[in-house]
Order: sequence, then C-alpha cells, then structure tokens
Amino acid sequence: MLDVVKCMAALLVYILIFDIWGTTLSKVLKWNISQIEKVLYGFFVYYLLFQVVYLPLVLLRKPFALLTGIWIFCVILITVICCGYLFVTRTSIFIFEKSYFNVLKYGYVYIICALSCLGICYCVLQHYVGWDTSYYIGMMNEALYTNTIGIYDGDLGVMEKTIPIRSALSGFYMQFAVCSRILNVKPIIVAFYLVRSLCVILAETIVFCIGKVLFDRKTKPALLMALLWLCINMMWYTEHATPLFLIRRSYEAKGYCSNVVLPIIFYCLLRLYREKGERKSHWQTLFLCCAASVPISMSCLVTVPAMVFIGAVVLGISEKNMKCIIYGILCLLPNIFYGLLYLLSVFDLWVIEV
Amino acid sequence: MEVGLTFVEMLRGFFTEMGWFYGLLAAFLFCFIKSGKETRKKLILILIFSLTFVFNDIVKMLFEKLFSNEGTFYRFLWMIPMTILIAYAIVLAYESCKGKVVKVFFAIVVVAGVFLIGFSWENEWDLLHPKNVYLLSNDAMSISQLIHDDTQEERVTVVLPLKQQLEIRTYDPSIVPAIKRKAYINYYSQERTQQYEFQDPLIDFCNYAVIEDEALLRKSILRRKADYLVIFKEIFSREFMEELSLEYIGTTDRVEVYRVNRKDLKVRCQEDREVQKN
Repeated sequence: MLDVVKCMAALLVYILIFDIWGTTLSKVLKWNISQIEKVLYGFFVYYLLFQVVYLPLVLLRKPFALLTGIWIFCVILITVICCGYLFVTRTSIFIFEKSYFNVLKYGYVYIICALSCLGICYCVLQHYVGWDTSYYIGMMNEALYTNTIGIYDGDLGVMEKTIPIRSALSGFYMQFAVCSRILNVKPIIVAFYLVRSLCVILAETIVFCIGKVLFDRKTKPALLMALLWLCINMMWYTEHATPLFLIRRSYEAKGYCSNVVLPIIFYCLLRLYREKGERKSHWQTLFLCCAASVPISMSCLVTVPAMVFIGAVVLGISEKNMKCIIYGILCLLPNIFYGLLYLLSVFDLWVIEV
Repeated sequence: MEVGLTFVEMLRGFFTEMGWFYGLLAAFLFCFIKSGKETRKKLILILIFSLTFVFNDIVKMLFEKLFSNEGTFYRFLWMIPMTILIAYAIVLAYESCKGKVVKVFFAIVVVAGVFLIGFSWENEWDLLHPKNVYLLSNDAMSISQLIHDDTQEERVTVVLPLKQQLEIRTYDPSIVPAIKRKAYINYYSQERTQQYEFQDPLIDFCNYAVIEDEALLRKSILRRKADYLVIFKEIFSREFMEELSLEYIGTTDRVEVYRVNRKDLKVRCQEDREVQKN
C-alpha cells in the first residue's frame, strides 16, 4: 500500500513540475492563457525535454541508470531555474492562484469534484491485462531489471538484435520507468496507479478547457461537460474507441494519444478558429503540442499531422489566409522529422545493431 | 465507389452495439443546427477534407503499408472528439432548456440514459474487485514466488497458460515465457500455419490440457528450453506429469507449477526417437 501512496505523492509532484515549467514558458513567450492551461502545456514541455535527453541515450545504447541520473539532474536544475525566474518576475503558479479557489464557494463544484474523483478511482481499479499490457509494462520491467533502454523485448524478455525504432522513438514508457526507479516501486504499480490517474486528470482538464471555450468562459457548463464526458466514457466504452483507452488502457501511450494529445490539438485548433488564426501564441502552443506528441506516443506520428493539416487547411480557406496553412505545416515539422526516421527504419536504411 | 464509405463503415462497425453511432450522429446534427453560419461552413469543410485526406481506402492502404500492419487504421477515429461532442451536445441542450422543471426533467432523462443504456454493472463488478495491490490474480505472484524459491537462476523460461503469461510479464521480468506472442496469434488465427510446431503442443497442453502426441510434447518442452511448466490444477496426475519429466513444486489458487527435469527429458526424447525409428 505504501507503493500506492508513493505514486499518489509522485502524481502531485508531477503536476507541480508541469505547473512550474508551463508557467515559466508562458511567461517567457508572453502567452495570455489561463493557469490550468499552463499546467497542461507544462506536461508537453516536460515530455519534449525528456525526449532531448532520452533519444540520444537510447540510440547510443547507454544504460538505463545513466538516463535516470541525467534526467533527475535536469529536472532539479530546470525547476530551480524556473522557480528563480518566477520569483524574480513575481509570477504566481496554479497552487498559489487565489482566484481559482473562489469557485469553491459554489456547492456544485464539490459534487463535480467528488464524482470526478470517483471516476478516477474507477479507472485506476480496472484490472485489465492484455498483450499490450504485457509488452509495455514488460518493457519498463526489463529496463529496470537489465539496466538497458529498449533493448529487451517486453513480451519475451529476450535481447533484440536491432533497436526497435518504432518503440525507441517515443520515451513515454522510459520516463515512467525512471519514475519507478526513483520511487523504488514496481513498474506495474506506477503504470496502473500513477500513469492512469495522470491520464484521466489531464484528459478531464482538457475537456474542461474545451468547455470553457465552447461556453464562452462560463465555468458551470464547462464543469458539467467535463463530468458528463467522464460518465459517458465510463458507461459507454467500446472496443478501439477513446473510452476503452481512457478507462482500461490509460497506462499505455495510446491512451495518452487518444485522450490527451489529440484532444489538446483539437483545443488548440478550436482556439485558433475562435481567434481566426491570428494569435501567434495559439500557433506556438500548437507547435509545442505537436513537437511533444511523438515523444508521448508513436500513434501521434500520423494522427496528429492529419488532424493539424486538415484543421489548418480549413482555417486557411475559411479565413482566406494562406498564412494559416503555412503555420500549420511548420507545426508539423517535428512529426515529419520523426516520420522520416521511422520510414528509414522501415526500409532498413537505418538499423542500429545491439 | 468505396472512397469515403470506409469511414462510415468503420464508425458503424465499432459503435452500433451501444448506440454510439447514432448518439454521435445525433450530437453532430444537433450542434450543426445550433451553430452559426460560419461554423457550419467550417464543419462541412472539415468533413470534406477528412474524407479526402484521411478516411478513404487509398489512405488506409498507404498507411497500412508504410506505418503499420492491418487493423490499426482505427486510430484515425480518435481525431474525432466523439465523447466530447456528445457531452457538449447534451450540455448545450440542457442550457437551452427554459424553466427549472424542464431542466430537471432533462437532467433525469440524461442521467437515466447514460447509466441505464450503458454497460451492465454486474459484469463490471468483477473487473473492479481487485485481489491485490497489483490488480492481478494471485496466481501470478504465487507462481513467481514458487519458482524463485526453487531456483537460483537469474532468468528462467516457463511454459504458462495465456492469462498467467500475460500477468507474470507485467509483474516479474525474470520469468521468460516459452511461448511467443506470434505463436499464440498464429494458433488462434483462421489461417493457422505449422510455423510454430514446437509451441502449438505447449499451447494445447497448458491452456486446454490437450495432448495430441506425447513424444512431440516432450520434444517441444526440450526445444523451447523450458525450465518450468505451469498447468491448471487437478487435471493430470503427478505420476503422469512425471512421465513427461516434470517434477511437482507447488500449487497456487488455480494452477500447479512443475520443474522440468532436463536430464530425464533428454533421455526420454532419445527413447522417443528410437521408438519412432523402429
């Protein structure tokens, strides 16, 4: 049980880190966004930076302990720098933002929060184990057990002949494996409790943000929408659709792709549509989410470009502004880069032997 | 002719069961009617471009060839924020209701709809009833414990029933399964091949307690370099298992764990070969 408590504590630390990093970035780039959005973008900043550390190490076949050490050092350093910057610029982070606590005077907020907590517990307590569970959690297990990164097959526990580029390009599982090492908790606990809770919280927050935009900044309908969204997911989950990946498989990168990354891309596009594609900060946030999409999940490799491309083209045509299409394509550059790397490996032009 | 229909087919295929398809369609139409002229124009454009660039057979074929194998194209459906759209449509309808009585009535209808039309709680209870903190069956942990109490090896190869194999890989990396995922996929495939001739008898034996050829089973255990074998309990007698060179080491809730006596197994396989020659 102590392991579960550790995971819940880690969840709070994660949210605090996302908050600090997201707030700093939004301050530096002068984004005029809400405090909740800063936490959300902080998650994407976190993964983008993790990828910068992770990718060279996995391609150079360095040990997992090195990744853990470097990443702990980076997180501490970046957080200290961010805190210093926020202190100097007198910027408040989410947990110190008093205006957010004003909503607590409304009774419905408590009901919605309590139901949301129940929803999270419902997702976390699911005990679904399939082939992908065995493979992905197996991969995290192998990283800790063999002190290697992505070299051992998660299903079979045997060493691969070449690095599987498809799974190596995304650092999602290794990031949580690092967390597992730091907490000294089995990866299965981290995956089932921490990764799942984080996914549901992030996903519900994004839906709340979407609701705020759709209902002209009104909090009550946005909260209702977020709650209803969670209930629909819980009650009506169906094979292959997003509810399955939220309720049962949210410890997988696919769960984050379908419930966190694609909805936030939708949110960014929605904001762009509202502002007629004119605000640069919205394009910057879209770029950030696209750049961090593949590090979060390889399923984003083509789904995110497809969504952004269609969104940008429609925006460009409806607003008669070709700049929107150009900006849209620029946002896709990171995905194109990862796509090229992946295709090189598919056609055996890029093979890294173990 | 099929261009564009793939999308509709896909949606129908996935969602007819629980009224998803119709729910989504109704939500879309409601939002479409309630939205302004500009938004409608954008929605139509999005639909046209989605069908042109993503949801058609040409893209599907290209995607499956370049990026993935068959059956993963459904991920593009995640681009459509379905649950968000349905939730938005319901809240929008609720906000449009005039008068407290109408609102309360509408809320009751929605809550009843969501909870009653949805899944059955009875089936769900079992899923929500964890046996331990790992949310696995107790078997996985007990098998791991029994094996580690019996061996000093860092890694051991074990023949396991499917469920136990999947669970144990999430729990204990030192246990290496003797049956590959591809062998299972082939086994359950309609176009089953003989590619995994030494894994099929193991699947038969540990999952279904079926033995077609005892000699082949022994050979399979040897060829897969299995150190341990796990089988559902109280199916075969200990004497029979000893015939297969398997020594009993313990029992869990649902399974029995056996150690493979390699030396004995080699001798028996040798004898089997000689019998076959004669």
